[in-house]
Amino acid sequence: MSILEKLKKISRKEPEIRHFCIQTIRFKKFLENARVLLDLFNDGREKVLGEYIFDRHYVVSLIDSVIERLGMMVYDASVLVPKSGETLYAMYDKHKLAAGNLIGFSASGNGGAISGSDTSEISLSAEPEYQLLSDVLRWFDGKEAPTGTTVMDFMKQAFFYVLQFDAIGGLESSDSMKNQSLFENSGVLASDMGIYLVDLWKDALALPEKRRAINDFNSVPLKHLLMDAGVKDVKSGPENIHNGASWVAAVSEYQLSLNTLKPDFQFRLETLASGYEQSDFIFIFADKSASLDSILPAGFHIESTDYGQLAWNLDVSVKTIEDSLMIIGRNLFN
Amino acid sequence: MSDQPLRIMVIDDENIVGKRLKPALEKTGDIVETFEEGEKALARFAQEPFDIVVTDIRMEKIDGIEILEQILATSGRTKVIIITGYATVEIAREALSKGAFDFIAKPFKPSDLRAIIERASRELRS
Amino acid sequence: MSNHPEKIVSYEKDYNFRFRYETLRSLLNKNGSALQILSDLEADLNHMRHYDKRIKRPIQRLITESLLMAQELNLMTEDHYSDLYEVIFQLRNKTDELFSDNQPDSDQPFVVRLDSQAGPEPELVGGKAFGIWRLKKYFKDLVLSGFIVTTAAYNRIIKDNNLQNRIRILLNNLDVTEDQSQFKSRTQTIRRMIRETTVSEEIKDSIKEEAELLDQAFPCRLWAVRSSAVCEDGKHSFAGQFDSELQIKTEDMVKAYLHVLASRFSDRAVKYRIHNNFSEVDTPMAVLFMPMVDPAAAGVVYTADIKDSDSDAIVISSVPGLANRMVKGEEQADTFLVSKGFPPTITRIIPAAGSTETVTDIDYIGNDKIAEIAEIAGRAVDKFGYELDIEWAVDRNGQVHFLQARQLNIGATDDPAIDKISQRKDTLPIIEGGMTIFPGRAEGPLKFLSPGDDLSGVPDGSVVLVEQPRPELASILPKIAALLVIEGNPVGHLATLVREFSVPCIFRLGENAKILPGKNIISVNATKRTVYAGIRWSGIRERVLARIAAGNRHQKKSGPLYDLVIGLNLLDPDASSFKAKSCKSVHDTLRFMHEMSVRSMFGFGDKQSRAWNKKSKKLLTGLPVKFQLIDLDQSVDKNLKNVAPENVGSLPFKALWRGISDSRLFWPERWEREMRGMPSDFKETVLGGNKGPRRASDKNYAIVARDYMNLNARFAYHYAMVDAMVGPGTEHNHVHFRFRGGGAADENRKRRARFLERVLREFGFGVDRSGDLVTAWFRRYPKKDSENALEFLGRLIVCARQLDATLKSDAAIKLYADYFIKELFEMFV
Repeated sequence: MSILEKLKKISRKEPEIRHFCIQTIRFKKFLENARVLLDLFNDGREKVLGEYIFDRHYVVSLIDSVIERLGMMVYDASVLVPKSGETLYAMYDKHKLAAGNLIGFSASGNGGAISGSDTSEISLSAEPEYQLLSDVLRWFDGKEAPTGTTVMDFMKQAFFYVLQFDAIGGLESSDSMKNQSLFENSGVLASDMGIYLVDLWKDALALPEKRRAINDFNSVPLKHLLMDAGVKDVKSGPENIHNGASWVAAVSEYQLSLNTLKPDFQFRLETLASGYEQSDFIFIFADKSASLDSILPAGFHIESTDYGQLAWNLDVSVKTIEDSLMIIGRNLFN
Repeated sequence: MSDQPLRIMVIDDENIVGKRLKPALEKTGDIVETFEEGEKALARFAQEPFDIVVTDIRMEKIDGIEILEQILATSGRTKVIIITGYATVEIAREALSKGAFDFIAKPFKPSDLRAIIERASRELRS
Repeated sequence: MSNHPEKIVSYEKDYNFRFRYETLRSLLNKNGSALQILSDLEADLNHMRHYDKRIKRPIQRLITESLLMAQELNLMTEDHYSDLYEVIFQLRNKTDELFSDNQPDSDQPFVVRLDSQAGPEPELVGGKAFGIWRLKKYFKDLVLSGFIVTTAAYNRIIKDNNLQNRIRILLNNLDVTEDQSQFKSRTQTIRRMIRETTVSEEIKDSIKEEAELLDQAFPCRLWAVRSSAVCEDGKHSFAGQFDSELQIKTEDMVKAYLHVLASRFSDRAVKYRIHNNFSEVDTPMAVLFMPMVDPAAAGVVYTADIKDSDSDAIVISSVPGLANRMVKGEEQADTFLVSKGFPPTITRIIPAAGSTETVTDIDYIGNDKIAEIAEIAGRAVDKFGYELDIEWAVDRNGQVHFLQARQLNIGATDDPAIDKISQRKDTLPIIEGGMTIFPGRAEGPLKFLSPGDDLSGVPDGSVVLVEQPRPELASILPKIAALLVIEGNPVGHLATLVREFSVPCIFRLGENAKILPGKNIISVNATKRTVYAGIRWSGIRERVLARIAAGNRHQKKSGPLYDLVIGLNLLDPDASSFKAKSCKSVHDTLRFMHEMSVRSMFGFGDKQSRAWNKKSKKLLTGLPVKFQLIDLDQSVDKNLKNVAPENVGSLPFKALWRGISDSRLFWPERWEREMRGMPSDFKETVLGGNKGPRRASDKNYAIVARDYMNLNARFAYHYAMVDAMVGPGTEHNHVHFRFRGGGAADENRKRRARFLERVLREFGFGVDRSGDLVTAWFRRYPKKDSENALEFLGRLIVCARQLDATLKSDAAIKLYADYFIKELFEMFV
């Protein structure tokens, strides 16, 4: 059957859940960009240590890449939370300016002169390339950043705008009942566990006809998360205010977006473990009171901000992600 | 690895490359000469061919591909390794089909280049 | 990157504008990288099994990008294209379904023995080795023990040395008919790479082990190393004619192995695969190692007489010593016809020497041996179930060995060993002699070509006669039946090409050949250097035409993945069928979204666009083109309605403009102005069909910023899009180009597209051509190179406009491409 024919068959009414699916996929893109950004910082840190041979061109490219990626993140954020777009772009423009200054400044010949030509040892910190790179790293994440906020701070702010832990609109409505009813009405409650399961690519097309079970899903990260969790475990935990489940997992073969629907405990896990290029990531967001060290395995970098906690792992090999998911699942659902 | 030290030539118009690579590559007892100007490097090569030539692909005054061609014309057995600022398919294709042995992209660690040189020297011996 | 604080303020004041701009940028960026993924995917589908995991992920990524682009397009157009979502989700579901039956990679052995009990898979050992394994199973003592280095080993070597990418790069865009020397240099490079590559210790040890075991059993210490390729079907044995290495010493086994692997990339073999649309990865190679027989005699058995279906004879050809030269057609064999009865009887012997006298035996091999061979061959046919082509040898002890067995291709022999049979006493050749440049038989109508004759008039399937071998004849080689040359240097360029194209050909026929033009149809036996009048061998003509047709046919790549992902169905944006719902593939959706985003940005009736129009400025120029610019950096006073090119602050735009305004280029419209007073029919003649812009929408639009530009040029029926980012770093620099021509006949438009493809590739762009739509990209180059690319494009856009009228033949494509590259712009008028 050709696509045209199939399209005719499918009911005209698009599932309500489609918008949720598209936004979750957009959020995936946002996080992918975030991870690349973190990698770029890391790359710069690695190169400045001294072993590598690089030139000014590398540093300029690095700045360029950071601005580009940051721009992509800001764009994604403005799609996810239109109201914060203007503020985010204003902050972004300041960083663009700072980047321009870094390049322009160093091109005019600043940076230490190379010590005497008859010595074989080169003082690395005096090399202009290294000087520039150090400046760039300070702009990324240092204590005294030239613009006031570091890029890293900006990133974290962007995260929390999107996640809206401090209320207004966004991915999850502060009215958790509304979201809950969306999932309930879409018929995505799992039959074997107290969790809403959304197939990001299938459900956007057509609502499920029958009740689904965890086993029906071919999602690698979901399988790893729930590997040690028993049926009862997911249902239990802090009391549900309403009937239905307190967790929602939106998945595809390699993607998992896990979220609680409880008003008092905020926890969100986002991961992509496809093994493809630079797209994989794993991020966790939680409110300030959550004890992440008891939930997350070693290797995760946890940061606490005014808005909440943020954690990630830069080792995004598929194996590490899968192992981490097993541990997290055990800790969450036992 | 072998008795004879390799004669390695490094060509890059960025001063820092030669300065960093020379001591790093000489650690294994090979002989390294560095050049910032392609013309001078070629003149030296014409005097006495080298086993391995490491050259940047994009330099202000002379193209790395030109250097590659001239070197291979002078000494067919020399292994030429290209340094690129960014590895693009187009560069790789051109370099490989003109006879480059391999290429490496900046930034790189001297030890990575070392590994390629080792592979090249194995082929030189066989 | 902006350095002026005032600009930031202007953005803040107009966030909606900013958001739309960023949305467009985001969409165009995604489009660019999606097209790159698409192009890589297409190359990979030639290299990988279609449902390989490594294909799956790029496809998923492509679809994700596509979905987000759809969201962006809808954000720009207030959800005008929400139909796209359904289409894209469907595409993802369909492709997921395709991947659910996966073939897992398994651990295959590197070496398989010929005497292994369990039958090896043909994909693992290749067709030839599989045939020999079977032969050994049925006739244990007749086939020497040996072993096969499998396709798994081959794949491993390719992987370890990253040869796949390197080979793929070199084979990419290989157009055999258009540039012979480039083709040859590339295949030569591949062969060299393979011969010099590193074989892992694991594989080497496996080879050594087997060699040692067999060494003990057969201490002759010399090996025959032969290719055993996996081909799509057994019929294409020609594709398997790779080199063998004979009399190899044990210590040289690995080297010989690599040489045999390299022969897989001989010019002929690569060309064959290209012409027959075999993908590289579906034809990996195994290599067979067998101890050498020191033969007293050797040859080939055909268990059926393919020349004469009524005949019951088995045909055995034989030479003293090794048979490899005979098999290649380099040596004449003695031929025995043996009746299939019981016991088999020799009915006739045709000696190699060519005498037609009856001969009763041949000195180096006894008739009893021949009969023995025939008898065993007969039994083999029973076992295999079909007629066979068997290579045999008899060693100094009189022991018969079978070396190879393949299915006999009835009706597909251009095999010189068989030719003797067809000789009839009653018909004499009208010409004999000369030099065989390429063997084989062919027949067809004769066409005599003088220098200066139009080559495009040569009919398919002709036998062409010329006095001298001129290189331009190369262009007709793919479509003729045979080539006869009165004089000619056998090592010259054309001779090489003739061999490349496998065209039966005789040089140095001599002055006598001048009687040929009086004949209508002639038959040529290039192997034996004879030419006959009239049709001589039935079936040959069909085969020849089929060969020509196969070479000419551009087989459409196919398969569900192509249809869902790569195929482009939506070609004409002006057609009424250009809708979201008509998108059948991911490529369609990309095309659609790009077109719609650009339209939305620049209006064409959309009320949102008026906001843009207010901000745009007219570019002041003496050239007969109209450009409206929207300068986001607003470097020019916003109250001015016009701007001069030198005041536009955009680097990429400036570079493109340098190309467009190159003083060496010609603008017919300029002439038109100058000719205003002339009679209109004169103008028509001089200017051709192009009378300049016809519609209001023929304005050209560009959004520019300091380091970015997106330009859409529509004039007459052409559409060109240039999107470029040229910043200080290289990582995000790109120049993307899309051109769709209109206004002329289909053929001419396609030619122009091919011209563009050729010229763009020459410069260094990656190119994708679908019909008359050309997409090209030049990514991650430093500033200077990117600027040069833009200047190049500027000139190209101007020159390409007139080309559809000029490119009247395929040969013109190369001609004009050369003109452009050599900057002979005066030719483009």
